[in-house]
Amino acid sequence: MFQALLWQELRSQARLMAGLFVVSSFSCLCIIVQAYCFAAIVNGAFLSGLSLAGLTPFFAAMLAAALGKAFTHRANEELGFRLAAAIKTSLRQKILTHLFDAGPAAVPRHRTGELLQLIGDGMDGIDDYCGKYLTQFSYILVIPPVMLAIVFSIDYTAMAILFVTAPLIPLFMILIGRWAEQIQSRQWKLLRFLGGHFLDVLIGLSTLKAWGRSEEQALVIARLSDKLRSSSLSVLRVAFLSALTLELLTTLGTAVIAVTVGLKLLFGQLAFQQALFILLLAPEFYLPFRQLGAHYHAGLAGVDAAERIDALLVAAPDRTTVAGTKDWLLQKPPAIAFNNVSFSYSADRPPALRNISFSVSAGEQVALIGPSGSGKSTLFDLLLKFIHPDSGEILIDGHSLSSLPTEQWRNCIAYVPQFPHLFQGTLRDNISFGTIPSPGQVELAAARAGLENWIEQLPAGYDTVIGEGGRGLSGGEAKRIAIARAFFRDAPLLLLDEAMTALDPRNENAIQQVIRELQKNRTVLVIAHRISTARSADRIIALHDGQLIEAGDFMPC
Amino acid sequence: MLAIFHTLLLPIWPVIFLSAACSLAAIFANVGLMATSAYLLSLAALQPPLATLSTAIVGVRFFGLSRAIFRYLERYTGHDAALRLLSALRVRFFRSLEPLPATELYKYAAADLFSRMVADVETLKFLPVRLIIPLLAALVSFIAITVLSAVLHWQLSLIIFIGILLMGVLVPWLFYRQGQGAWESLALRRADFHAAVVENVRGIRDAAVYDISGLLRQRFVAANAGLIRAAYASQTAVAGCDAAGLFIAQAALLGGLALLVVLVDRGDLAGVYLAAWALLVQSSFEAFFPLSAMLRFLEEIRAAVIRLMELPPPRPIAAFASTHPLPPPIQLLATNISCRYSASGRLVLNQVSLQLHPGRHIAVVGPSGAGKSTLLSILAGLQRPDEGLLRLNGHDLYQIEASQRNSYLGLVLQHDHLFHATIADNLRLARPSATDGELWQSLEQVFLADAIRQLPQQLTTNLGSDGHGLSGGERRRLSLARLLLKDSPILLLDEPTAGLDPLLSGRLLAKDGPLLRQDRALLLVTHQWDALAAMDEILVLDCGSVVERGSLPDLLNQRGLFHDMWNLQHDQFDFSADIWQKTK
Repeated sequence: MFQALLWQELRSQARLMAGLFVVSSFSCLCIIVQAYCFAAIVNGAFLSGLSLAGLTPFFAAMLAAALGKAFTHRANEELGFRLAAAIKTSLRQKILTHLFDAGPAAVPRHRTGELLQLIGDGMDGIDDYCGKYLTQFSYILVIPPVMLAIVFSIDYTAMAILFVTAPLIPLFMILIGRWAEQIQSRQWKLLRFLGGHFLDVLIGLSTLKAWGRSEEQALVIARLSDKLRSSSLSVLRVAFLSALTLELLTTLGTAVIAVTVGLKLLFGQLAFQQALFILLLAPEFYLPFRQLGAHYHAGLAGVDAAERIDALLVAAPDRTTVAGTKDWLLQKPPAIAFNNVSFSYSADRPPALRNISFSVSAGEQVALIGPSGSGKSTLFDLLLKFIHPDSGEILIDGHSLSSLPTEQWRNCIAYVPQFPHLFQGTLRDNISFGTIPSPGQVELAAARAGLENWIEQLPAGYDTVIGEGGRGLSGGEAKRIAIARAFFRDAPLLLLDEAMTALDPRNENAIQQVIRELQKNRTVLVIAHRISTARSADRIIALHDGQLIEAGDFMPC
Repeated sequence: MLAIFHTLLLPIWPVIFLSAACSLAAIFANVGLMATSAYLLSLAALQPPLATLSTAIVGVRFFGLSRAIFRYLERYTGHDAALRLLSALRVRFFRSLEPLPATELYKYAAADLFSRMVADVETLKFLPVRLIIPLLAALVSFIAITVLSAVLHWQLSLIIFIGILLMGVLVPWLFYRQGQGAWESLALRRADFHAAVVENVRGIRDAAVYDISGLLRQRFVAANAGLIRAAYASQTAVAGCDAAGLFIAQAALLGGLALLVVLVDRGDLAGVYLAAWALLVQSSFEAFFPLSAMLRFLEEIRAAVIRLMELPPPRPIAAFASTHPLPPPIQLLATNISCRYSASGRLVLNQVSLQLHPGRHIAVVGPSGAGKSTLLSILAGLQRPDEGLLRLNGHDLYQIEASQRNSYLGLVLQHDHLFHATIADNLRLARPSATDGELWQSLEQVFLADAIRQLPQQLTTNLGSDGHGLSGGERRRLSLARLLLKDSPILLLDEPTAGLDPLLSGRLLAKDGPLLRQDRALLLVTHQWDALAAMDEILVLDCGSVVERGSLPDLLNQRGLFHDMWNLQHDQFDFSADIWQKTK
């Protein structure tokens, strides 16, 4: 149950951890006081003939201990929750910082789902670890040793019984756990199939209907679910044995102690009050073991979650872009030159770009063409400083790109990506993006992107909330908002991905016109999907497998 | 709501009662163990002859052993009940989903709603183990312990009765009510949090370029704090319930103990039984501790049930007028078909008419959202139009019994599903009686037989969820092989060659190829522009209406929407062309 990252996080929460230990110790004290008073009361009434009045101090102490126990129970949960919250917050921050440092190129679209899971539900394992496993673990550190010491001071034999049975509990649990795992892994494929069959049928239900085979499936589902039941039960039969041994050891331990202590009592080797005290402590001694056994999987879940996060954080956090320090601002469309630029995402993959050299003069319109995976997006990522060339150099007006300050450089770029992201917020915010616009500026940008009429017919106009949980937008609308952003920024360099969303000529031709407007008076690199775009560009650069295979202007055959 | 569970649980009650009985036995065994142990010690303290202890010793050993065994049996039978309920739930929810139109079902699958439903069903299966069985056990032991203590003294019985009522009913109820608001706001905060994470991950590119990463991070920090606060509030409800329950149990024990001491003092109770009675009271509260855990589960159940209840109830089996097999040639005639979105009332299809008979091949094109897939599913009888007539050889399509109707219509949907089963099983969906030879023959027709012969297990290769075994294009062709195996006179195909390389799709859609035979009718929704030349008629759909129709040359001459789409299509780079492949 040890995991380096988790341990590091726990160490930084030393106060909460210490709190858990203190609370467990206090809880242990309450248990002892309670058991002691209980034994004293029964002894007093049974053997010493004391009346209720004579036993009042013990009752008072027991009531205090009861309050104490309720309090420690509550405090224990509270600390576990706070510990989990602190660790989750810290890990989430670490992941986001890591992503930010590694840059957008390290977050490919196909992996975002996995990342979202890791930051969101993936953290449930940490909740379980802190809230269920650790809180019980703090009890096991305190209660059994203290109980052993107390029982030892009264009676060796009883102590010996406790001492011998306790380690058997984890031992048997591990042995049986392994056995169950073996059986489960033998049946794993079948169980997975039977468990997943229902979802498979539901997803395929529209197909089944098309074939007229859907109605009979209810019978198949019933039959396979029944099979799932019988094979699951055959695994559970063994898996539950570990709980059985746990219970058996603890109850038999208590029973053996009762009989042993009872016989000693019979022969006058022990006083009744002491014997009853031991009997009361025995189940309390075993309780932390039982609880920890019950929450063993919660511990595993936490370790598992931490391991997956660790793997992400360890994975090369190289901040490949170099933050330049030059004080620099672009006033007019820049000239760009690639000199022998190569880049690969990792050593074990073929390079994404190989010895690329070309130059774009100020104000030139260049179309990039090539099949997907040919390196067009990598080229954009390099220009955006999301990544840094492995070798070679990119020059902007003669300055090396790596020497330019990243943020100021990006401020000079208007970027229209293939899948623009719409943030949760108003349309206005999504166009002006963090900056405070002067009056009419957003409206102008929207109008130039051809969004004016569409926005004005919305009930809330520019204050319509879009993004997650807001109004849904079509691909074409999202694209136009990205174009409006570019107009708003009015930067001298334009990077544009032309990918089409739907084969709708009216929409596409309108967007095409707007883009033509956007390209004016800028240096433009466009990832072209349309032949006409390439035709109207000043120059075409064709990429294939990371290599530049042709460059020149369009020559109709 | 309750009625549904009543029917689902009806056959499972015996198992549930068995499990609850075992649970009860385990609780009593624990009470017995502690009480007889205490009695044993008290008896021994009086130092009688050893023989007098023997009954108590046997009792201690018996209870020590039986508790663990009863717990085991309780768990086992409880999970048996859960799995039986799972089976019943699955069938029940399948029956309510099955009658929905295929287009609706496809939307569910695309929005990943099925995964959520399956997860909800998995939550509901724990109803016996986590709610019914502990509740039954608690109820019976409540009665038993109150009655048993009344034998000694009515006041003891009253103390226990009040203690358990407070601990088991009143406190959980109060905390449940307190927690409800918290649970609702937790769901809201969770959505906020998710949105903030999505922005930070999916929006990372745009955020970096437009320099708003700092702002996004602030939003995330706020959302995370909000989520944790809301989680804290709901956690407090459960934790508070536990702590209060613990205290009430202890206080009731103290009250009971005080009463017992008085009884001993007055001589109403022999001192030797004092410890036994006291421990009996203490351990009898054990049955009521799982009650607070039920609170949390109750909330989960509630949420799952609310979501699942949005589904329609299972449909009664409709009776059809039996029809005789229709004599060939089979003709499908659609007249003025219209269809609306149920929500907005907007027209999806507006007055569409067409005729299909053997040898007639029609293509449907149009921008996305024009209503092409809806038209196809209406023709296939998967969805009823709001207006218009559909006749198969003169009979109303919807009056023909589903299985018979299906034998005339061969359908491949845009997202045809291949099941996690063998290739042969997937093919035989179309014709269960097909021989291996016929399977191979259909595979030959879609040029897939060679690829499948290369697989080590050939026709018995299992198509797993991870998609291994066959590529996307091969899976698509397998769907087509399935269609050809069925040999229906009318084929209705939605983008059947999407994702196939142009050479292959050209061969599949060639004149007199496997899909365009003179003895079959074909309706083809497609973006495969090369295939259009071979078609008898092309329907251009736009916003639900047929805006243009005719042969390819006719349409190009009209210079309308089709002409523009054609140009746009041919303005796109085709990187699958030979020149791009050669350099590989």
